[in-house]
Amino acid sequence: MQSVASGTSRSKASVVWLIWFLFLFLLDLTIPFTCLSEVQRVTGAFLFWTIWTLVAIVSMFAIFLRWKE
Amino acid sequence: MSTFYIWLAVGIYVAMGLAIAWVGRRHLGIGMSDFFLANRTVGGFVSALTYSATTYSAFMMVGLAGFTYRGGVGALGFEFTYLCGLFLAVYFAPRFWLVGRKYNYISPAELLADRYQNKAVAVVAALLALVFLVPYGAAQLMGIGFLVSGVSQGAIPVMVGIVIAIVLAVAWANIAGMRSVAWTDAMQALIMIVTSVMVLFFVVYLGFGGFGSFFGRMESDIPGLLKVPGETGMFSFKMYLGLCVPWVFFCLSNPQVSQRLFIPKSVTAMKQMIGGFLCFGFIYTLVTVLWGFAARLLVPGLPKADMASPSLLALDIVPRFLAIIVMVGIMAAAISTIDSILLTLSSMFARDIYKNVKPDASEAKELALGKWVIPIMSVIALVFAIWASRGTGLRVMIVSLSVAASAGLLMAVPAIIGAFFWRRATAMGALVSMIGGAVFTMILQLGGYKPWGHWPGVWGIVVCSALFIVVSLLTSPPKQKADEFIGYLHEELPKHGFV
Repeated sequence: MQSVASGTSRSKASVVWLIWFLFLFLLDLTIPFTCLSEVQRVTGAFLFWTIWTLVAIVSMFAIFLRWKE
Repeated sequence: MSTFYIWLAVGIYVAMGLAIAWVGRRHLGIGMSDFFLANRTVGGFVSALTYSATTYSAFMMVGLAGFTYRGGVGALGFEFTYLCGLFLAVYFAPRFWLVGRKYNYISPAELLADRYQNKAVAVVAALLALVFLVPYGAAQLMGIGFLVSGVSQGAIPVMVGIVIAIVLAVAWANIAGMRSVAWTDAMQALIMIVTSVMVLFFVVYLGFGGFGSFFGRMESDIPGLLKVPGETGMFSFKMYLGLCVPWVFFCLSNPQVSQRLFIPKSVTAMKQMIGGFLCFGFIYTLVTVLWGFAARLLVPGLPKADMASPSLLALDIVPRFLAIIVMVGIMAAAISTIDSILLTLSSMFARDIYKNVKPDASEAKELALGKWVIPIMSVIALVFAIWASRGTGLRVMIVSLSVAASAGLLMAVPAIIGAFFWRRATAMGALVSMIGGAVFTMILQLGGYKPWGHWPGVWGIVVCSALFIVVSLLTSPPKQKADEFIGYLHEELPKHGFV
């Protein structure tokens, strides 16, 4: 019973993370080409993609740091 | 640049690499798993560095810096998107790792064949890798030849650079298989990252006076490169999508990378591999793109964007000794990719083609054949590279094949995803999607077709996925194996906290 419950919560977590990453990729493909397409500064697309990547990396760390032997 | 010092640096690099490879040989055991996967006992630090060195090739310092030089910030977005495609590894690395240990898989193609209970799946997946990775390896060789020749200002001729690269790649792959490749990769990854960061600091502080004024010059002198699609319109949305789609699946589609998901010795080592690669990739990408911007400001008007890095290294503000070490670092980036490709292709040839044609062949014979395949593949790649570097009629085909490589390898992705997540997936679905998708993508690529402006890889993955789903629904799945395979993962994944 406990294993079924943990399996279900794992499955839910995996779907939630998947949706989160798809959302991040949607931002990646839209924001620089719309909101930032006229911003000719380092604080435009350059900063966006740098922060976007850090957010994605931190998200991945949040997942795999929970892995155990 | 003094020829003596260039050869001295190359000599030290070769000596260090050979010493490391021979130390690896002292740990070499027997059998396919030991030679091709280091017996699945690679530690986290080396796993992270070999993953990084294999993934990042000479494309970075040559191609990506050139992309930035010509197209601007879109290059940063594309390469970071590629890095973040590693979110797939967060899902798939534990799965590859678990089933690799349980079923003793040597290659990703063997995994597919067993899961789909069809040997032809392994043969087709292996052939797909051979067709697309050999030209990719040849393109690496060409890159290294031209770059070394350019940076050394002709002191090392193109052909000499190519031959050095291929001889080292064969040696490091053959001396102790994955052990020598992984350990030399680790050394090479450190050279790549340390030297590229050092050059950036020299260029930024001596060329601009610091990062503040560097960014200020970017905004005042090249503002058009700080937005997409860029001042020349190079990074249009469709091109961006066309570049990102194949590369975001890189960790699954490229067997020399996905094979590395079998090698960590523990869960901790796997965590270190992924975390280490993410940190390495973030720094290396940012540094390479900043090289491109710096080159655009300091050496504008280059006839070819790919000359951005060599031109930057030729500036007086970069100390000569450092320029020489960076040249070695770029050689290292290419060689570490080529030796990994050679090793993976030889394992696939031995296990997925030869073993399926001759099922009664002993493991010793299989391994011996695999070792012979390494120099044979290298000669094929060398011939491709020589033809291409001489600009014969084949050149167009090779360049097109190289560009098509990432899109072509992408065609195995639906079958890989289906193997882990869809019990209804079938061998026929896998076969038709891989063959149909690859042929379709090649027709678009070689014919130069881009329907509605979208790149072949984008159309390829759509067609390939549709074929996989439709054909799978029309044919019978290997139900017993699918239940066993996926059921095993459902049992094991929660034990380790995997998603």
